Amino acid sequence: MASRRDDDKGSRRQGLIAGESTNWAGLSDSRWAPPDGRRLLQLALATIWLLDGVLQLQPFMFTPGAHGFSGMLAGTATGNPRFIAHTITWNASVVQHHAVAADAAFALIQFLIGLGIAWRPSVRPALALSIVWSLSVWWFGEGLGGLLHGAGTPVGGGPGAVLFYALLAVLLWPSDRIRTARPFVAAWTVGTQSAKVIWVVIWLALAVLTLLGSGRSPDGLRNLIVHYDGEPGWMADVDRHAASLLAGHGLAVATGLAAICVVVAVGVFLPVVVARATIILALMVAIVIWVVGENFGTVLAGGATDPNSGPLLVLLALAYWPKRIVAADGMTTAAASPYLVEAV
Amino acid sequence: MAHPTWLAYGFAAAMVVVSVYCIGRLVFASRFHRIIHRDVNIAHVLMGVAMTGMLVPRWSFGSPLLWELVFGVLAVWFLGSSIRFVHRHGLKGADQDHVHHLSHRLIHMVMSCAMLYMYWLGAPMSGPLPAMSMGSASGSAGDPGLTLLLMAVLIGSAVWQLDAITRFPAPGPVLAGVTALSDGASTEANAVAERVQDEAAQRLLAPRLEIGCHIVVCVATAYMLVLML
Repeated sequence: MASRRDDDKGSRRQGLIAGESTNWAGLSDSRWAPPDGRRLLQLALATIWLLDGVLQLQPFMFTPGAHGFSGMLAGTATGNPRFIAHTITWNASVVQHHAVAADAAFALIQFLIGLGIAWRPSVRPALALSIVWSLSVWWFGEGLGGLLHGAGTPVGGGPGAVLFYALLAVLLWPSDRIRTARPFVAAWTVGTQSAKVIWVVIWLALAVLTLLGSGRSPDGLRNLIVHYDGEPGWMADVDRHAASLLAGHGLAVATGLAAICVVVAVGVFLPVVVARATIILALMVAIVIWVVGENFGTVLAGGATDPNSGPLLVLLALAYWPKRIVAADGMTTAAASPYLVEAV
Repeated sequence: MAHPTWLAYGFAAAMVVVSVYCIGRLVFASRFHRIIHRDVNIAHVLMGVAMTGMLVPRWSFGSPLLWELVFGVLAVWFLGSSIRFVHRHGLKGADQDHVHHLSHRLIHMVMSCAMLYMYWLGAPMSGPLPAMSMGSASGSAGDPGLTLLLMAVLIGSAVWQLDAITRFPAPGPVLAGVTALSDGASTEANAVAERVQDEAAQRLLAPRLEIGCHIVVCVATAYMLVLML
């Protein structure tokens, strides 16, 4: 036993001398692994959370009244059923009476989530907190994303950007499950089948929401865009052109977007090459929605608490990007089905 | 627009702490021959002092022109440092400490440019709190797109660095481990262990705290920028 300990000590010393576990500065930890695909997406999510926290510190957020944060919250009650509207206005009134404390607390929570995800030892608690916080904000801060009164078109951020925060927290949850035969990052934790079902449900829901309510009316999308105010000149130009293109064509555009969403939804079941094409399509849809439909979440106009759903949809799509395929013999192959591949 | 004064004072206090600590690092490293990134620590000191003045006008000193000159020089320095690094190690190479890459220099160039951007827009001249209200009451200062881009880059850097902070274990166990290894070993092994211990003593000076300073400066700069939206 003592001999084995001596051997261990000797090999550790040799490793230390040979520099196996240390760099020249003697500090780098050999157990530290560079970020993999999931970790990179976690860091991107942390960046968005931290950005949200900083945006929460804008001066108008600390201001009570209709033009402050409480007014913004109260506005989401409009159109919702009485019970839900009541809970939202109650929350808004609490914020109204404690504007500074409430806004500071909201910012602090978002800072904690962002920094918590970024710091490896606290990833799990931070992601758990982000799920709880997201669902609370979806109810009290986004009025359930306008789902219950036909204003949940994905072009405007429906069904609520914070739902995607929660969903990403689940998909990017750290787990020690074996990653073999998991074709994309989103499958690492929940499994391939579950991840695919989630993807299909999301994109089919987006397709349905595109065709519901105000989004399909002839001027619905145009009205959504022209109401943006205070944007910088170049963004206002984009809005003007988009509004003129969309005028009177709301139903046709909504139908086309719904069809694209359906194609993206089924793409995850297709061979890798086609699946990648549909993921690229999803990325393009997310970017167009973010720029044209959401105006970067109106962050540039100085009146937003988050960049809206566009960046989250991008992260979601990247989490489903099929990895390079490696066969058992180490050769790169083009597998016919993502079921049979191993992520690298 | 109401804005809590304590928030500005809080960030200003953090900047003072960062500045004082980084000055201490520079002095300590020079006195005890420890390894630090001098240019980075000097940049943190200057950014801390400048932002303290932006956040609390009473604590500011130096003309805006002087600060513009300072951050202009810093930006050029880090640009030159980046070019030298690429020339020496390539785009994907690492520093001799195997930890820092090209991005380490580029991000400090971006931070210097962000400071320059804020000074160009005149926020510091009118003091931080008026500037804060200016940002919302009379429209945004500068180009909001560029402001948002700078914020995203700085926050991304803070997140990236916080992720990397765990690569540095606490210094205690390293030295303790080396000492333990030398116990009862041969003379030759003892000599090698002592040499390793000496080299470990020459290590980077508190790299985790340096990263902590970087994160605080990044977040504070992003906060200053969001006031301009």
